[in-house]
Amino acid sequence: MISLVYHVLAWPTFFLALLVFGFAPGAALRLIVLAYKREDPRRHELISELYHVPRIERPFWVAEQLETALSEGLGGRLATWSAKRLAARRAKRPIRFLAPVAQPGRGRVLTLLWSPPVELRRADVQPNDVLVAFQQAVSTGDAKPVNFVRCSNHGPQRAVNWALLFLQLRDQLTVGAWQYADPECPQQIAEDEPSICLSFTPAAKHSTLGSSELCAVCGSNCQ
Amino acid sequence: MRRTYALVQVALALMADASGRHWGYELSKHSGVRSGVMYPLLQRMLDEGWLHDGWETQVQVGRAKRPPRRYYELTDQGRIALGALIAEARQDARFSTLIEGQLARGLA
Repeated sequence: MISLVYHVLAWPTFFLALLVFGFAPGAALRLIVLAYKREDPRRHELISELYHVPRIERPFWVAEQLETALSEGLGGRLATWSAKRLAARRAKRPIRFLAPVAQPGRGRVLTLLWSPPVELRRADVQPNDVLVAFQQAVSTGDAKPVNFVRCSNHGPQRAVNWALLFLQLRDQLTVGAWQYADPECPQQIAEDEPSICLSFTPAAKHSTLGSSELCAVCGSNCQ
Repeated sequence: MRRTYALVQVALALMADASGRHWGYELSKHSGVRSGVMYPLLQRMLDEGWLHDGWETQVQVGRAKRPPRRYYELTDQGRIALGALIAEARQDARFSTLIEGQLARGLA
């Protein structure tokens, strides 16, 4: 430990630091600001501020920026990287949308929309229709391919990249509100495909179906 | 924003010229806050809407061989928030020496 301190404080190290921060502070600062993200205005700001720092203070000022760049710049980059990684991992996982079910029945049509269309009029919605509109919030970008997995007695059926899906439901469903939940979908979905498993959970005060989660297609707990 | 010593120092320096433009290095000098602390603080103030920033135009830079600088100006919201912050700091014993020192320098 003592030898480490000795090496850190050794004269060559000191002169190297003096050389880097003292004689080439501009070049050192230009390297330091690379720690910030490309669009961060601090990159240009620090370089322009350097011209107003007295020469005698520049080595210390640049050294201070190194400290901040390591904590803020690299820290920010690390946070962005981990957030992107998390989003990518979540995008691979199936997502489940839950909505309360009021009345069981047959012959209802479920309309699944990526987002509520502007031109959608109240008259377009038939009395027995169930409209579920959602916006993809898990990952960025509207054009992300998402599979819709229907569970039925004949196995999972897939519809890829459908902007509008009409599903003939065996059971009558009325959706009052829906909420996003993020449990693992137990359906047979390949791990590498971003997928949506739409399932409905009955609202406790309205439902006559109990509290189990129901498949959008077969209307029963087919999980 | 949490009321820290550095925040009060920067607030005092900003409010010393509440309608003027402030530059990073000068602000650091006037407030006595290290630039490593001050720039993150300024960023948080920008996020809060207390400051707005801009860049010098080429006309302002003139013939000087340097890049344009970034300046900070207090917004109305910022003036109110920092005024309240300084008023609270005056009541706080932790900042009494700081406020007295700034009063002596004519900043507060």
